[in-house]
Amino acid sequence: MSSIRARLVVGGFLAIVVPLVIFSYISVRLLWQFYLQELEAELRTHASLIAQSSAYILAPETPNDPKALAALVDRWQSTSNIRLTLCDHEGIVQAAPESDLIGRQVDEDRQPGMMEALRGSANATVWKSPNFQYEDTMYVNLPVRLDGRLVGAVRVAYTISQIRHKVAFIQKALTATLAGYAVLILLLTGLLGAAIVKPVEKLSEDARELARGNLGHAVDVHGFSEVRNLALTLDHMRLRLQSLEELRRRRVADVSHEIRTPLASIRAMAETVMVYGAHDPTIRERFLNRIVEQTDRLAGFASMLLDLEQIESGRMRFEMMPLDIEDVLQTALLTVEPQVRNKGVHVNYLPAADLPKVLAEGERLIQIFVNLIENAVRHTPAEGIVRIETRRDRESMVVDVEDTGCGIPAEHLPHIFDRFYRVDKNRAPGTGGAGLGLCIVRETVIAHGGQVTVKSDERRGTCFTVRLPLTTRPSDGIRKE
Amino acid sequence: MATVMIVEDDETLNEVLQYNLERAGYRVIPVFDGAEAMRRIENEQPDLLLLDIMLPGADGWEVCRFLAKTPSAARIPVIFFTAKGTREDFDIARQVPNFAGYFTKPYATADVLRHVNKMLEEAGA
Repeated sequence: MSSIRARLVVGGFLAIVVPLVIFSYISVRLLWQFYLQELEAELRTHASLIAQSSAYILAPETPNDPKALAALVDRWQSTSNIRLTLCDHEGIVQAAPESDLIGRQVDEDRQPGMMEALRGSANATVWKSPNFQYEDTMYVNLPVRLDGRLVGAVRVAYTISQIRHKVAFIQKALTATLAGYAVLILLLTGLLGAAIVKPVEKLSEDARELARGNLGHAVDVHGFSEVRNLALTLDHMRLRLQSLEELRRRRVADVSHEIRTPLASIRAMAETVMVYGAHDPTIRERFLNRIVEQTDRLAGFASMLLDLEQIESGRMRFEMMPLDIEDVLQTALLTVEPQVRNKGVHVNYLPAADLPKVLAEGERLIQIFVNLIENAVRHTPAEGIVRIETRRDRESMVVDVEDTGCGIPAEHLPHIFDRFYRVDKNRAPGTGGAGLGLCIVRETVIAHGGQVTVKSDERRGTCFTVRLPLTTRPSDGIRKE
Repeated sequence: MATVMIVEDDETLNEVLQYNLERAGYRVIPVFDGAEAMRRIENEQPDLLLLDIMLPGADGWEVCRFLAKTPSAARIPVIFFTAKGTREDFDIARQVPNFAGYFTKPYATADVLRHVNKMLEEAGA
């Protein structure tokens, strides 16, 4: 009963067929009563007509005229299939369908209700009369009056077997129609159920396939719109899982690839120091220092990976507080000072006066700008300029970090924030960072409720713009106004 | 004295390899990208190429295609380096006619030196 098909079939049957059966039953009962009433009314009409025409003959002062009575009875019985019994005011049967009854006293057992009519009250009854082979028969008994004087009674009988046949016929026809209808309903609901259930079953088969991990198996989209929508959703989910799986696989490959080159140089340097270090102090010194550097870089890469994973999974907790962007940028500039000096680029820092505070975590915010400034320095040739500018734009703090490098080709711009994405696919990990810096910048800025955008011109350089929400504390508002 | 060209964009790795090869008695031409390698191969005529597959600009495969269509360089043996842990680079490298060896980073420097030595002896340089 828990299946859709069974519910549809049973439900359809109960909702459609059962009321029809009840309705038919009531109709047949009503029809039966209607026919009986009609018959009674008709028999009463006959009876009263007969009473009128026989009153004079039955009156006690009229001489007995059995012939006249017999003629009257014959006329009625021959034209209308009714059976007539007449008695005089003393209850002596004067005319009857069975001649042996004539001249006898009216008998309550054989002519029930006739005595009542003789006492003056008309009545009708349905009775299994022995006179009609115990078939159901309707009797109407009427008093016969002449000038208001009771002169006898008339009894009109009519078999109701014809009505019974008529009603039985209607009943049979109805039953047959209903049975056919029930079969039709069963068939239709069964088919409808199958039409609904089949795509659902196919869908759950597809879902099971997905659950088994077979993400290449496309979900069949067909059936009713509800089922189709579900299938579409499931297929979207499958594609999403597929791309997540692909992403995961690629990320593992990327990470593995990313650490192999620094590891190779660490190993090569260590081996070289082992072989030649004793005889060549210069190279020993140089390579040992570089080993430490490379180890730091690997450690930095490991923490970047961890940060990224935590920010992305939303597990990173930020200790937000109002910060002066000026302090943040000064600290970031101090951190990148060695690179700036080594590369020989000029940093042009243009802070806006009287800026309100931003709500952020200090360490994270500094890291964002360290990454962006390092990136800008890396892509700016010696003697080039890195411009850093802050300004307020309505409810946001805007920081531009612009380099005067060779720019980023337009086709790379949409991917520049993707993890492990490098404009130059083949650049070795040593030279351009691991392709995680910008990704961390974007994720961190988003986690702070801000956004970061990039514009690039292949002649003029690249400009990263960070927008951060300002503190909405009233005290800050008053201060800046 | 045999000449070995190192094509490796990681400056540290390039320097360490150069130091070890020079110590082993080879003349070394350090090169940092594919374009530079293709520019200098014909003139320098190295006896062996140590080629990193992932290079900025023209990559290792492009250098191989250049070798194939440059008659004077077509027979220079190539030892490949890759940072990829999978076999995909190896399967392609094997098809290169100049294929003379394959190392996945990080490698043992001694192995590389031994292999360089062996390849150069085979080449009769």
